[in-house]
Amino acid sequence: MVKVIFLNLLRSKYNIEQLDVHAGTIQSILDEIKRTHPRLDEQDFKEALVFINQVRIAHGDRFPHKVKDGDEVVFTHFLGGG
Amino acid sequence: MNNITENLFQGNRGIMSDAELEKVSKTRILLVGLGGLGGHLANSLTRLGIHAIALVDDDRFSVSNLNRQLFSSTETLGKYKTEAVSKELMKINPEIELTSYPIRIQEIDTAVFGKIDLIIDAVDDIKTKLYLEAVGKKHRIPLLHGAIGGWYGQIGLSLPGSNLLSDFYGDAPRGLEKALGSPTFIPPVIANLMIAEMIKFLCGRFPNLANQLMMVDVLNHDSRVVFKAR
Repeated sequence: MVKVIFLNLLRSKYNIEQLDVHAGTIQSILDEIKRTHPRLDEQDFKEALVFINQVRIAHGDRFPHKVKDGDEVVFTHFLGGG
Repeated sequence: MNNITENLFQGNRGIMSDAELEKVSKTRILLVGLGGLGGHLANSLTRLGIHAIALVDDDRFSVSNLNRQLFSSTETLGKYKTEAVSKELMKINPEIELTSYPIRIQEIDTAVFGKIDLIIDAVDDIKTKLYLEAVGKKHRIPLLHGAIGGWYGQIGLSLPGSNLLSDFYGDAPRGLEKALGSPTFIPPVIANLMIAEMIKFLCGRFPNLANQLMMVDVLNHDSRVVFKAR
């Protein structure tokens, strides 16, 4: 299983802190989460960053990126204010 | 040690040794940005007993700053932030050595970097944050990074040679801060977490955020390292 963590705005909006899902791709993970949380809006993930085991996945490559059992996936948005 | 410095050190002795206080106080700081984060950073750096701070900000205080920028007030509206902040810091410690640069960081004479031990990123645009990392890389100066937006914050420490921020921000479109705004209470929280990380790094304490980025969620009581530079 894959540990998925929502941080910051995603956590606040969906009240999801952590989930266990099946391995696959980032897209398949989101599809699985949407089945159990139909409120999930994919638009929110268009600008979200994806980290797998504390490594950032390039923005353009994230949805087809493979995720395996034991991985930790973090979805969040970055900040730039000061 | 003069009386002012001794008084500043006294309250911090519970968590730091005299040698650590001395080391931290002698760190020459370049603080870039004197807005939400920067004002609180300047305040805490001064109260820690830091001897020398170079302040960089080309902006003046305006009414939109009043909800969160520490040294903004009806008295400082329209004044250069470097000027107003310097005046207030001198009231805390008249012995502090302050150099003000009311200009953009990109316009600063590069000779300044030769006299700096740590750059602190308190700016509010990503392009400048990346510029600061490039400066740190070129001049072999660590960069303490901070960012805020809504209930949330980001803190990291980019050591010379690291691409922490350029890899983190990379090709992503934009941050959330414009949509989430800048509440009163978030800048001091994140600024002082940055100070704590600065102290840990300078004093060799662990864990610290060397080449790592931590996200802070004040709303949901969470902070965690999300990214480690390779």
